[in-house]
Amino acid sequence: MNRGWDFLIQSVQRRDLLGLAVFAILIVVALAAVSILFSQTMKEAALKRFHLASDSYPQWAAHQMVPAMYNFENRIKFSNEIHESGSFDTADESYIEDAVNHFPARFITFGDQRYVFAKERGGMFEMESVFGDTALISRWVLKHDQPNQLKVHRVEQRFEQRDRSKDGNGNTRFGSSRPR
Amino acid sequence: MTDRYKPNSDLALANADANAAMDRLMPTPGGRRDTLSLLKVVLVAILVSLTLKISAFVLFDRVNEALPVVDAFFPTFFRSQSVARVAYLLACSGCVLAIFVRQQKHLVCVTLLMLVSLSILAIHQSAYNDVTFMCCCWSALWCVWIATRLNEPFASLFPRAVWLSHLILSLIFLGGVVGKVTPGYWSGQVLFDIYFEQRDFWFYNVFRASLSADQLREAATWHSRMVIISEFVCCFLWLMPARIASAVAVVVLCGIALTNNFLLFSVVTCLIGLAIVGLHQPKSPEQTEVFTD
Repeated sequence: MNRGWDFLIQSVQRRDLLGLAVFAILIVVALAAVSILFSQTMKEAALKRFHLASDSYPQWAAHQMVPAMYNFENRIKFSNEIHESGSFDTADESYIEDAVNHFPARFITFGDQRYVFAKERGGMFEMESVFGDTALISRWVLKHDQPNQLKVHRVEQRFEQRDRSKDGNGNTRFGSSRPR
Repeated sequence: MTDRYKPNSDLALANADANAAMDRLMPTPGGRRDTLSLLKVVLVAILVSLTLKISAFVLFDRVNEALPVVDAFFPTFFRSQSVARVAYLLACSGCVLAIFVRQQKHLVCVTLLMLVSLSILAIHQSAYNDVTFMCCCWSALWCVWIATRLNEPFASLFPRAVWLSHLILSLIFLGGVVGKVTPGYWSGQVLFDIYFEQRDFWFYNVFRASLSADQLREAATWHSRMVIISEFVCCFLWLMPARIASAVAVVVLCGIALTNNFLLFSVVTCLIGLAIVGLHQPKSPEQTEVFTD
C-alpha cells in the first residue's frame, strides 16, 4: 500500500499527469473486471463480448481492455450439415464439439480451423459460454455468399439460467437448462 | 530496489517540493541511462513476444487471405487483413526503433506508435482473441509513460515505474482469475477438457502416462485450483515488496508457459519484461550520466 501511496504523492508532486491517467485507467479496468462477480448486467456483457455480440462495436472494443485469459466455461459445436429441424446432425462426420479456453468465436474468426472445416461448404457454428449460473448460447450460420468468402449470419442468441448447485463436476456440456 | 533508492515516505514527501523546484530551475536528467535501460528491458521483451508470434501470424494471414470472414459486427477497417498486417509491422518496427532511439521526443513517438498499432490488433477481427497483443498493449502503455518521464531523476522515478509495472501485472492476473470463479474451473472440468484429456504436451503426457482415468480427473481438479490460487495471489503484486512481487510474477508467468504450452511464451514474455523492471539494480547517482536532447 505504501508503494501505491508513494506513487500517487510523487506523481502529483511531479505533475505526472500521464502516470495518474494510467493509474486511473487501471483502476477503472480492474473494477470492470471484478464487477462480473456482482453485477448480472456486467456478467452478461462479458459473455456477449466473448460471442462478439456486444450492443455495439465501440462498446465491445472498450471492453477489450479488460484482460480475460482462460475465462468462463466455453464450448463450441460445428457441423457442415444441418438437420432438417435446424439442429446439428451429430451423426455427420463433419460434426465436432470441443472445449475452448477463451473467445470461442475465434474458431471462425481466427486461425486455420475454418479453412479446414468450412472451406467448401460452410455450416453451422454454436458456442456456449457459462459463468456461474448464467449461460450464453449463440448460433451462427456460415455461408459462402461469394466464392472463397465466408459470411457470418447470426441466427440465434439466448441467455439461460442454470442451477449449478447439483453440478458437482461443474460439467457444462450443453446440459438441460431454463431459457430466459 | 536498493536501500539507497527505497524512498522513505516522509523523506520523499518532504523532498518532493524541493526536487520539483530544483527540476524547474535546473533540469537534471540524472539516471537517464538507468531509465533507458528499464525501458529497453521491456521493449526487448515486447519484441520477443511479437517475434514469437510471427509464424502464427503469417499462417493466419494466409488463411484470412484465402478464406476471409465477413462479419458485419466489425467495421470494414477492423476486418481488413491489410490493416492487421500494417499494424503488426508497425508494432514490430516501432519496437525495434525504440530500442535504439535515445532522444525523448522520438522515444515517445515510437512507443506511441507501438501502442496504437497493438491497440488496433487487440480489436481487429483476425487478432482480437490473441492475448499476446493485449498483453503487449498494456506493456506498451507502460513504455509510453516512462518515455515521457525520461528527464525525471531516477531516484523518484524508479519506485513508481516498478509499482506501475506491478499494478499492470496485477490487473492482468485479476482479469484471468475473475473469469475462473465458476464451477467448471473449481472442479477442474474445463482444464481437464482442454488439456488433461488429450493435449500433447510433456506436462499432460506425464500425467496421462502415470495416472489412471480417475486419478487424472482428480489431478485436473487440483491443478485447476492451484492455477486459480496462484493467479489470485498475483492479483496483489502491487501490495507486495517490490523484489518479491517481481520474483513471484516471473516464477508464475514462466510456470504458465512451461506447464501449459510453450507457445504461451509469446504471451508471457512481455509480462516477464515488466516484472523484471522490479529486479533492476540501479547504478549509484554518482555514476549516472547526464544527457541532453
